Amino acid sequence: MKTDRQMLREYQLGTLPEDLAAEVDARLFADNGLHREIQDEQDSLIEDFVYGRLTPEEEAAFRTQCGQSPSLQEKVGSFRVFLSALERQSASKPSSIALRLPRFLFVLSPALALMLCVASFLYVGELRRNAILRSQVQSSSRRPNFAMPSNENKPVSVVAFLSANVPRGASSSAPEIRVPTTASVLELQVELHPAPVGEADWDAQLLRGREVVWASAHVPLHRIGQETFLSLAIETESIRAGSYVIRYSPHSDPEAAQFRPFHVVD
Amino acid sequence: MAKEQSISEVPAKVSRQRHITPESFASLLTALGDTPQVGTHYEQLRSKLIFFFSRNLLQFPEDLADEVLDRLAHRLSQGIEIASVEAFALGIARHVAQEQNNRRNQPQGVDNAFFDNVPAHSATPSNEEEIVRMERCLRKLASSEARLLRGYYLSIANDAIQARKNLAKNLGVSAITLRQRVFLARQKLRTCMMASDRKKKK
Repeated sequence: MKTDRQMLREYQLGTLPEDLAAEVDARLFADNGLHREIQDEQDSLIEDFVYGRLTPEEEAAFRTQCGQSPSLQEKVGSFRVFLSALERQSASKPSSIALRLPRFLFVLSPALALMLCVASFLYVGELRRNAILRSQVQSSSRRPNFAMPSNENKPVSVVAFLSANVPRGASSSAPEIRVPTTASVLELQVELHPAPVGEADWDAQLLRGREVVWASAHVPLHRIGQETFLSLAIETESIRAGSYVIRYSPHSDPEAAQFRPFHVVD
Repeated sequence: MAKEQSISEVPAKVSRQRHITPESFASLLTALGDTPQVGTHYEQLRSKLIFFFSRNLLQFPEDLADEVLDRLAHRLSQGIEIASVEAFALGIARHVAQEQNNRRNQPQGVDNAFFDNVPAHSATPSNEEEIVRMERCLRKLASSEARLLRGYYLSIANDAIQARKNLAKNLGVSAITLRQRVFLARQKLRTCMMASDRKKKK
């Protein structure tokens, strides 16, 4: 005894006996509920095809249908896009904490939010006062380096500049970046050329294949002389030797993304 | 009987060229209800026709569906009275399918290039732009819906059926309800992507 789902699957694959298929035709054109069920089963069929879960017979029938129907090909392609986006979203889940923070603050009571603002204001004021006092002490001291903190625990960063104007032939590859083992932060400066006008707020992602290994939102644009660039501080522990692509876009227009490939070598 | 006669009078030729006029298209929309949802009704009927031609293993079911809609609109603009637009459309579709079956001796071309990427379940890098747009649409979903889609599609170990049973159990719903929720969430994504397509084309 076939289940309804199996029957709908066979209907779509064209393998249901003609008399039964004709019955489904009549019901389909008279009943929008069945139309939805068939659409649902088509989603499931596409998923099983993409994950290689169809029987050989089903797969052969599905391939024939795909070859004959541009819209079915489009649906299969769209499902792959959907899965990729879902995987990427899942991979970059830590950054979603940053996205949730404004929502969290939004639901806080206004009084609590006001208290936080006042506390922040007092804290910043105190920091400034401390800084002034420290500079006064340092300027009056005969040993200016006496009170300087030790650099031993500071993270060691290495800077790499990805220029936009380096001509590359068809055979030449992306630039190589060598990251010393002692470095804990790679400051990647990505030149933007031509210099964007009016877009100061950028989003950036570091991709290894399709995997997002690092992401940052609201990256400011730096301008020094003729050069305009984004400065991205990336922890080296998330990087290993291999090919990477920096994807960057104005925060206001994520669709205008640009890409800059490079290699990390040992 | 009158219906059968009117269907057989339709010119037996699939031109693959739209010959719909604004007047006949207006007649079709009126017959479909002429309400704010008329666009949805039109797409629904077209989708049913595509399913019909696909299950009949006919090439380019989308073109054939359009051909049926053209013929339907043409008949409606001639003032013919139809009790059920959908049933009439099915009649025309059967006729068009019969015409196509008679021409089946022609070799059928399968786009082999399409299968180069099979069975990779992820999109190729050339889809990057689309993936970015899809990500934006995913972010617009309620967090519970995005979580549901991740749980449904990404938490698949070796046994997808069992994984989904567990998911339904954890959510306290039946397997059918789970499927319906997933379907609705994906419909929202489709609508969002279509809107994004339209915006991009402007």
